[in-house]
Order: sequence, then structure tokens, then C-alpha cells
Amino acid sequence: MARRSSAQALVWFTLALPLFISIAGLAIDGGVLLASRRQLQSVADGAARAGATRLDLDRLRGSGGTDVQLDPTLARDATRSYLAERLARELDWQVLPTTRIDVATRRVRVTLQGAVHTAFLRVVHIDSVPVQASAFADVQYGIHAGDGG
Amino acid sequence: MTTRVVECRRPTVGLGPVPASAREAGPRRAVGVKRAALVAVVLVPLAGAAEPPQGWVLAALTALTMLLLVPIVGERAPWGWLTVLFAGAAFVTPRRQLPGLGPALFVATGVSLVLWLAGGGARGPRDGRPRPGSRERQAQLLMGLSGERHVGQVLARELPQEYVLINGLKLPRGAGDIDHLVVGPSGVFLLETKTMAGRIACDPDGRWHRTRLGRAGTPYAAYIGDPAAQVQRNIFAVRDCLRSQLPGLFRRPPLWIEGLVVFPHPRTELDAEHCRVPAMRLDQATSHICLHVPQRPLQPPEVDRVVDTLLVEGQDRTYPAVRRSQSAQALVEVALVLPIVVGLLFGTLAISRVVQAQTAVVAVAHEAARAAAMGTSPADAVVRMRQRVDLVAPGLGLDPRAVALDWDVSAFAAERGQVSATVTYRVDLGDLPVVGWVPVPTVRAQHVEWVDPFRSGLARLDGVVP
Repeated sequence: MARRSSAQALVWFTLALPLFISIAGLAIDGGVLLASRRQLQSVADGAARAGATRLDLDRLRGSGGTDVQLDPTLARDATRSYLAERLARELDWQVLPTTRIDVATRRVRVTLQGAVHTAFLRVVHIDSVPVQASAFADVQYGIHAGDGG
Repeated sequence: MTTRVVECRRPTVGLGPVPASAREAGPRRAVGVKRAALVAVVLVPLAGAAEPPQGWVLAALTALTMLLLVPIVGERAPWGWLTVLFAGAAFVTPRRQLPGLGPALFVATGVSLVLWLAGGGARGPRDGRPRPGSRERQAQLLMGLSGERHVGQVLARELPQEYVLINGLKLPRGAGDIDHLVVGPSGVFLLETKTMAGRIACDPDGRWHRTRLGRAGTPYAAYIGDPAAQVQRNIFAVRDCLRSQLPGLFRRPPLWIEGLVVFPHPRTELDAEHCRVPAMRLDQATSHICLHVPQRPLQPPEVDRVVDTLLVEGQDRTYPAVRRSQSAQALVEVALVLPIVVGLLFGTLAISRVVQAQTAVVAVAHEAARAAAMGTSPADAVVRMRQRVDLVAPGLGLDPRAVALDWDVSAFAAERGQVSATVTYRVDLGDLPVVGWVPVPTVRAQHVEWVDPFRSGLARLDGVVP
């Protein structure tokens, strides 16, 4: 009886410790993932809006300010330039995000896909978690927030 | 008369009147103080760390005061209610206005909880039993000890030599001491002695009542508890013990362990025909035992084996010491483990708060830079940034006073211009216990936004658009 009941608290704690650490680890990795996702979304929003500032000025002047369209080349270059400047310095990427830029006559859409490092999930051989964000900016109707990812 | 009497009680029990406080309230109170002191040693550094250094000082003073008060007020203090009171105060007390009070209340809650548990917790006065340490309780204990001693003497005198009488045996998982245990040819008998005057009755549903007469002759209800339940729990303990050590006794026909509730007080009026176990006055006990016809009589060698087994299992006087050491060990284990568990819990909470702040700061920087990108001049961009931060930060769960905004509008221009907003936020973890000593974490986010000349009207001013 004495032997059976001794050190029960320590035994229980030892058994439960992996569970506690897992919960704490998931909280940390989940938090990092959430923050990374938000940061990526912010970059995508900025890049889409940067592209949306490049209008086809000749067409705009020719129409007397009524025909507002993007200059596809300038818009793509602006978006690309923004991403090149901001993307690498924002987060510690496991895999540098792939970018996709779609420029229509009035809309720039940016889609980013990357992977961030994990801290605790490496224990179970999950070294990175993919994150994705996309945003679009419309010249006619104003700037829109990201539409998910 | 039997000379085979084994006394398992502590020596003081058989030496005349024993101060009840020395038997129950004293050791229990001492154990409570020791446990409370140990808990205080663990809790004071942990709780005080939330508000250093006054948290440590107030928490230590609180613990010290309470530990000094215990010997004075003893167990008469309502520690359970004080626990609730302290815990409630800890929840509702604003920590920022009264720093140091939170740790003190936290420690007070822990110490009073331990004192309450050491005093028997909710099992205390719920059933009308006199409070431990009270005069009524001491008188009751003295009366009980006197009665047990008397019953032991009577049984030793009246039982034949082939019977063995064990007084005060304590078994693991039993309900306290077994007042008397008789082992003989007619079986194994557990006797619970209740030295109580007055009219004692047992209802058909098993509930006991005791009625005494006051000085004016008015009847009043007095405590009796449930003696039958106590006997039955001890029967289970004895049966478990014998079944594991002497399984042969429980093959058909199995040994049946009998229980008896004995009332030795001369002024007891007994009406207990509905009792689950036989209840009788002392003068009927010996004949009941000797004349009992068991379904499985015990042979003399079996009697000896049963006695030896029970004495070994009861560990005689070493058992309480073992229990105490186990209890202390469990407390030490909890003291070791609790800080880690509490640290993990509040650590996880702190991480969540930092993550929430980081996410919010990214959004604030984004909003600030976006607002600046709509400005018509660098100065206007800065004003817009500030206004935007003040507007959105509270909505994102940030304290505006802890938000610091830095900007870069040096590249502000209509053509390929850009603005940058950097937001820094100090995450306040001071209200979290345990992790309050962690240096204030700072989260930071920067967002660059290209100036939007067409939306802001800047392009028109520069003559870009005719």
C-alpha cells in the first residue's frame, strides 16, 4: 500500500508532462503561424495596392479622366518591385514564398504562398507549415482587403 | 477471562484522562501549520514575482501573519469561508491600482485552503458534530476514550481464554481505529464503542438519532453520526486484508465478519432494532459473541493466523508514522510539480497574449501606412498616420498608451513615392501570476505603402492628370 501510493503525483506529472508541453508547443507554433499569416496578408495587400497605382496615363488623358485603366506592364513591375523589397525581410521563411501576379485592366491580384519554420512541431517531423495570402486592388472601386488565403 | 489482549493504541490512551487536544486537535493543527508553511514557501516567491518587489514583501507578510494566527485561533477559524473570501477578493481587486495586493491575496487563499483541508475540509461541522478543538469535542473525546477503555476491560474479563482481543487496531482503508476486534472460535467481531448518554434510536432507513435532556429538562438533539457505517467500513477493511492474506478462510463456507455497536454508558436508552449491524448495551456484548453460531467456526490455529495477519497489516504503531510520511511526501511532490504546471499554464497564456499583440500590431502598421499613403504632403501623411493609429489600436485590443508609432515619409512623392509606418507595442504581462517577472516583451511591425497619388488628389495637384 505504501509503495503503491508513494510518488503518485510525480508519476502522474511525468505522464502528463508531454501533454502539457505539447499544448504549450502547439500554442507557440499556432501563434507563429497566425502572425505569419497576418504579415503575409499585409504584404499581399500592399503589393496589390502598389500595382494599382500604375495607371495608363495616356488613356486617362485621352479620355478626359473617364477611362481609368491600369498599365499592365507598369502595374506588374510595381507589384513585383514591392514584393521583392518587402517579402524577404518580413519573415523567416522556410521556403521563400512563390508569388503570382495577375493584372487585368482594372484589377491587380496578388497570391503569395510560403512556408514558415516551426519550433515544436519539428519534434514530430513537421519542420514548416504552409501559409498563403491573396489580395486584390481595383482601380475603379478602391482598395479591397485581402479576400482570404 | 482472556489474557490474550493486544493493545494497539498509543500508550497515552490507556493511562487515564488524555487531553483531547493532544490526541486530535493538537497534532492535526500542527500538521495543518506545517503544510500551510510549506505551501507558503512555494507560493510566496511565485505570487510575489507578479509585482516585485512589493509583491514578495506583502505575500510573505501575509503568510507569516496567517501562520502566526493559527496557533491562536486554532481550527475554530472558518478557513473554508476565508478561502472563498480571499479568492473572491483576489478576483475583484484591481491590480494596477493596488499592486502587491494580488500576490498577498493569492497566498492567503492558498494558505487558508490548506488549513481548511488539514482541518477535515467539508467533513467538519456539516453533520452537527462539535468543531475540532471545541470544549464539547474535547469532552466527547474524553468520554469516548474512557468508554473504550472500560469496554476493553470488560471484554478481557468476560471473554474465555480462547478468544483474542485487539484494541485500537488501525487498518489501511479502514474508517479510523477499530475500537475492539475479537477473534475466537465463534468468528471475527468488530466492536464500535459509542459512549453516549441519552436516548439513541435507529430509524428503519438507517438514520441515527440521539436525544438528550438539557438542564431544564428540555430534550435536544445531539450528535451521534452513523456508527453502523463506521463498523461496516471497518468490516470491509478487515475482509480485504484477510481475503488477500488468508484466502483459504473465504472458501465455502466463507468466514463471516460480524460487526457490533456497543453502548457502555449507563444512561443510554437504546432503540436500535432497525440497525444494519447488531447494536446493544455492553452487558449483552460478551454473550452475543460467545453464543454466536457462525457458518464457519475458527479453529485455534486459524484464530492465531487471523490475529497475526491483522496485526502485521495494521503495522501496529508504525502505521500512523507511515501515513504521515506518505502525506508529507505527497505534499512535497505537489510542491515540486505545482510550480511547473502553473508556469506552463500561465506561460501559454502569456504566449497567446504576445501573439495576439503581434497580429494586432501588424494590422495597426498596415492601417497607419495606408492612411499615410493617402496624404497630400509628408506632414499630412504623419497626421493621418497618428489619427489612424489612435482610431484602430483600441479596437484591435491594444492599449493606446503602450503603442509607439515611428514613421518614414522621406520618400513621400507623387511619383513612385512611399511611406513607412513602424509600430512598436509593449505587451503587458504584469497581471499574470508567475510570468509577471518576465521582461516586458515588445512586438514590432513595419508596413511600407506606396503613395497613391490619384486617390489622394496629389497627382492632380502635380498636374499629372489634366
